[in-house]
Amino acid sequence: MSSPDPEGLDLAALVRGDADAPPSPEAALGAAALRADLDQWSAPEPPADLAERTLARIALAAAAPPVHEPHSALEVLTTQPFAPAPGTKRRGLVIRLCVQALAACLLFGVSASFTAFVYPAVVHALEEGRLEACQLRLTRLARALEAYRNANPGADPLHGAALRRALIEGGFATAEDFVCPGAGGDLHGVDSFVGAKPGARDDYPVFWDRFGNHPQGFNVVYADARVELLDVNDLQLKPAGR
Amino acid sequence: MPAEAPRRDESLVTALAAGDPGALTELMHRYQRPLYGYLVRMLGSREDADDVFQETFLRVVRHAGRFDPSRRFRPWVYAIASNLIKNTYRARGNRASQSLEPHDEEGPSLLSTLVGRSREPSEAAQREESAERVRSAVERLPEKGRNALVLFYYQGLPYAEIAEVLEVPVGTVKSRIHNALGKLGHELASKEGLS
Repeated sequence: MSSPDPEGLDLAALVRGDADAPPSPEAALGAAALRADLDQWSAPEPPADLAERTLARIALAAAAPPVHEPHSALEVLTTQPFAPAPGTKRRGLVIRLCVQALAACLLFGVSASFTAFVYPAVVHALEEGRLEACQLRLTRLARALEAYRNANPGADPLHGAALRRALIEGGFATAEDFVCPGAGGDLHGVDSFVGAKPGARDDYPVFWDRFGNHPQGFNVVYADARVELLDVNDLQLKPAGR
Repeated sequence: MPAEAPRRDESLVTALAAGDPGALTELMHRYQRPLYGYLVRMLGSREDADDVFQETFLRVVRHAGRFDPSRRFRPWVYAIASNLIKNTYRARGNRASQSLEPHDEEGPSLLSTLVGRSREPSEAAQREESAERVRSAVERLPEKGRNALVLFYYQGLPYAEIAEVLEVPVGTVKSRIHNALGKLGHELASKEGLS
């Protein structure tokens, strides 16, 4: 197909402002008018955390599958944060002393000391609850994805917003499932979880938290509905094909 | 001592293929704004643009080892994004790719549109053409013409690179842009009661 412009003139370049030889003053004015129209439509700035989330997605996609056996969300909660460490005896002694001190504080009615001990524990317990609720929702999403794939064999792969829409519109998941309890309810809305392209492998990460939803790290659920709590600093970029 | 020249995009892809994550960060930094703008304009949704941006760079990483450094990176990354846009249209059930005209048919001549729209520049500057009206008019263009137009006008790519992105001859690119601009100018002028 040849250029449709008359006499070899590049009218499109004239509109873009690249051409310096307009065919007529009217064409030059018309091009300026059209350019003024087109320039009205400016593109929005990308989100500030777009690069960070992209790097995380790449790192997750390239992450080696975990070598240990699948475990439940509850096991993650009970084993990872409270794993036994060296010096348990000494720690036990410290804890006992702390408990005694706490009891003393209670006995003597020192409410300030009481608050200082109990408040962090309450906060910790609440956050643990949010972490567990988040993991349960992620598990539901992974199962919803499996149900969607079974109901739509051979469908085009979906990811991200398209996948989210398909799961909700198909009745496989609810909008609430996509909201992380650690993100402050509606704070991040349905963007709290970002879905990845469904892979054929069971160890493929399919949904994960946004960073900052939980102080302990971020949750990832794999295609087999197994949940894992990861630290963003542990992610390694691995170029493919190497 | 002269300042070190910035590394070419193609060198960065080679470094990325060799396992340099800093090269990926630099590429993403360079392309974040233009590519995101392209995606938002083509997809009409920030959410979808966000996803496709991530998927584009995921593919850049996956295929960096196969990139031919004698080629240019920019049309390569735009070609990846363009293919993902088509996938997104398909996933939407072609809702987004619906247009007033089903095929890339020839519309009004660009020259006649431009001459018909001629006016004093000061008038043009004073017109309150809303971004929404332009967006809506561009969205109704046939998908091929819209893609060529956005790459040409908003992304500033030369014809040769657009031809690489769309995998069509340069003449076809020019024709698509010409038709798209003609239709767009005609439609915008029609809405203003100029024609």
